Amino acid sequence: MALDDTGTILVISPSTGEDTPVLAPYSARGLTQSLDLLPGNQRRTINGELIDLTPVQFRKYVSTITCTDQETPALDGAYVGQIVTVDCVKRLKYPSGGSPQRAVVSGSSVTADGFVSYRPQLLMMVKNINDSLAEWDADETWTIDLEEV
Amino acid sequence: MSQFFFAWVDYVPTTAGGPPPFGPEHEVEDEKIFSAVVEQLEGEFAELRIEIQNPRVGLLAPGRPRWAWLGWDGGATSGGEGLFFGRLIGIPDDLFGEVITLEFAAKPADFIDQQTALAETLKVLPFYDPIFIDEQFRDDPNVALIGYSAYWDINRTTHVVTITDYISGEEGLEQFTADEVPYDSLEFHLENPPFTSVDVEMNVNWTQAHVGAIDIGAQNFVTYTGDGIISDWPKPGASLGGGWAVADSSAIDVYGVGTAQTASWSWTYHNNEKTHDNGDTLSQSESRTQPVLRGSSLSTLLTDRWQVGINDPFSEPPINRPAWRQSTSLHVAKWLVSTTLSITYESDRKRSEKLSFTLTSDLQAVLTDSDEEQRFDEPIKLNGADVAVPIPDDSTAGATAPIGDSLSGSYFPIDRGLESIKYGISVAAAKLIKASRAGELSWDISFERAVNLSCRKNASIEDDRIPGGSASGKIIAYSFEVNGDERRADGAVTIGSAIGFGNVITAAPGEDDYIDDDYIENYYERLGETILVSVAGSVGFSPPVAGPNDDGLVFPLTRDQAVISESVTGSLAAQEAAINDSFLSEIEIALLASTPAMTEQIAIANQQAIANASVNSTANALKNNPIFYTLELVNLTGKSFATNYDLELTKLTIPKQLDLESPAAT
Repeated sequence: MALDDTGTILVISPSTGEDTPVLAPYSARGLTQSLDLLPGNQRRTINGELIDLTPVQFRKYVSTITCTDQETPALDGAYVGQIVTVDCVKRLKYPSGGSPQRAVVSGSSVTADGFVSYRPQLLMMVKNINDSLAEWDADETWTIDLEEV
Repeated sequence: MSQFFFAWVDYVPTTAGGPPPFGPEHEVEDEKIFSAVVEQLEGEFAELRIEIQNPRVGLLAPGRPRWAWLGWDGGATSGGEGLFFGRLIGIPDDLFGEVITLEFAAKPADFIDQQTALAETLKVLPFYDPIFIDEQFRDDPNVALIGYSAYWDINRTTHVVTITDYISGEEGLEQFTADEVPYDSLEFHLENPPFTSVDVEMNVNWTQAHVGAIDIGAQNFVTYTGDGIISDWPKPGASLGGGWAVADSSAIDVYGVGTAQTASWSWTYHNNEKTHDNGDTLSQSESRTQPVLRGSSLSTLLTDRWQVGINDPFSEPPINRPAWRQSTSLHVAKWLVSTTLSITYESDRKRSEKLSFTLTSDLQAVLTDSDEEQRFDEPIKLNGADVAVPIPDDSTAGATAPIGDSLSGSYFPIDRGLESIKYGISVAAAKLIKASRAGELSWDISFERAVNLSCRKNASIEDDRIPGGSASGKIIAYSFEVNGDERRADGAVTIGSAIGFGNVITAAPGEDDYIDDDYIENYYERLGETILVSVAGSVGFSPPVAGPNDDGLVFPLTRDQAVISESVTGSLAAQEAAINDSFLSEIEIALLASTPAMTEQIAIANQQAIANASVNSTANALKNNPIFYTLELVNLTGKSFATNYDLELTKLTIPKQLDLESPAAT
């Protein structure tokens, strides 16, 4: 589904053989996506110096996608721990001459003012799904918490 | 701003000295430390625990340093200060973590050597008495400390090994006021009712061995049974039993009766006249044999037969009957036996002494029932070696026996024995002094104060909640910690407070009363004396009065001590009377024996008569009336003597570092 179908350029693609979760029409207009770094392990020495002890392999993203729209996304059958591919709407940026640290959503790279921004394509795991309906307002509010695999 | 340092040190212990002093080369940060804790308990090595980022290397790999300095600059602008020097103890348990904990111990590389050398200096009376130390443990440094109320202490930076008193620290007092101690950190703990008394039993033994000689003297025996005395007189070298033997002896037959010879003489007469008258004696001969005695004798004629000689050529038949006379006599010689006798003795008397006492400390009441003593479950039993055997002592030229003279009848009352008593008291006092620290107080302190603490110091604290408003005591534990995550640097201290009354015992000289040196050399009894034993508290005791439980013999023995009795049984007069009485029987026997029996019946009757008469023979008279000498000597072997002493002591005074009887200050 594309922007004119779902109202967003964010795409959630389940793994082969699975149908959900995917975004449905009128379910993802005005969504918000956060892209945070996984908390690391830092300790402060007895001399006051803060030391990062986080292994390189733990430099991962945590993402929360939240939206309130008229419809709910296709979440039936989705489960915590499910692996999905997310074409993020939140952009990452790096200085020109560098290289992206994540897979790039095709056609999303934009160079301007000495920086390159792009939409990362992340392989993520569903950590939590919240889905609620305000009946009288007919507001479908949903949240998907994801962590980069 | 304070900065902490951690430096791995490639330290190779040498005999030359201790650890390398903390210097500029150690003001580095070889590891990023997230937290560091230094703790020390009394008597233990200080320990350091640090959390660092896992270096992912083999910490004990060959070539890697294993010693480390922890230091800080204390906020000072010049120079750092070492806080801990120690050796890595093994590999951490959390080897796979991003953060690992390393533990170090401030154990000197030459700890055993230092401890042993210090122990040698501690082996002095009255705190160390080798008599009561099993030989296999005499080289154990910890054994040297038993009589001291002290712990070993090991400095966490210099690694110098010393000893420190249970109650009074050698490096002064750290004072803390209420406004420098966090209110909630002050904790008080009272140990379960402390032990206040301990029973002690001390045992020593020795062998009263002595070799000597006594001259019994010379004697003369006049008797008709001198051969018996001579044959029975003890010969040189003979054992007499009871530890006695003959050194030299003699029994001389002065009159030579035993070797008396007989003398014989004869007399012959021939009448050489050519003509004879009737009745002329033509010939006569006579002979006699008898013993030659120098002394007198009793004798009797047994038989006397004679025949008159007749020469009558004219009778029918002619008679030529020579004259003869035959007689026998019995002589009983009187002997003079001159004797001498000197004897030796070898005594082997087992002596033992047991000294018992109960030492009680003078403590403030902790129980509601103050009459109830808390006694150590197990009494202290100090079994000593043989005090008459020299104890090898490397520090003196030659070894000496503790008792000095093994002939001494007492040990504990003599000067050396008093030192042993002091040792026993010191051992007991050490247990009670340690137990007297019944009050434990702990509180948090600043890091800056904590790094200056050691277990060789005392500390005091003022707080209105404490009975009396303050308490002091020996530092029994301290710690200081710095934590980066918690942004915290602080410390803690625990003291053990003695709960005595702080009384003082004074020595009392007593009055001199001398005992004969022959009994116990160089000993004098001090009546009413109180001798002080110098321990952290103080205690006095009254020296025991010598009262050996034995048979009273004093060595070397005199003749009067050695001889229980001597006597001569029998008399010359009785012998002579018996001998004279026997002569009639001897005459009868001689007549019956010399008279031929005409018939067999007569012969039988004669034999029976001889047997009957023999009952009263001279031989039996001598046998039944001997003169003999009896000498009874004191038995020196197989005896053992045990003496028990109950020692009188004052109470062991203990300092008052915490006044439980005072109300808390308002």
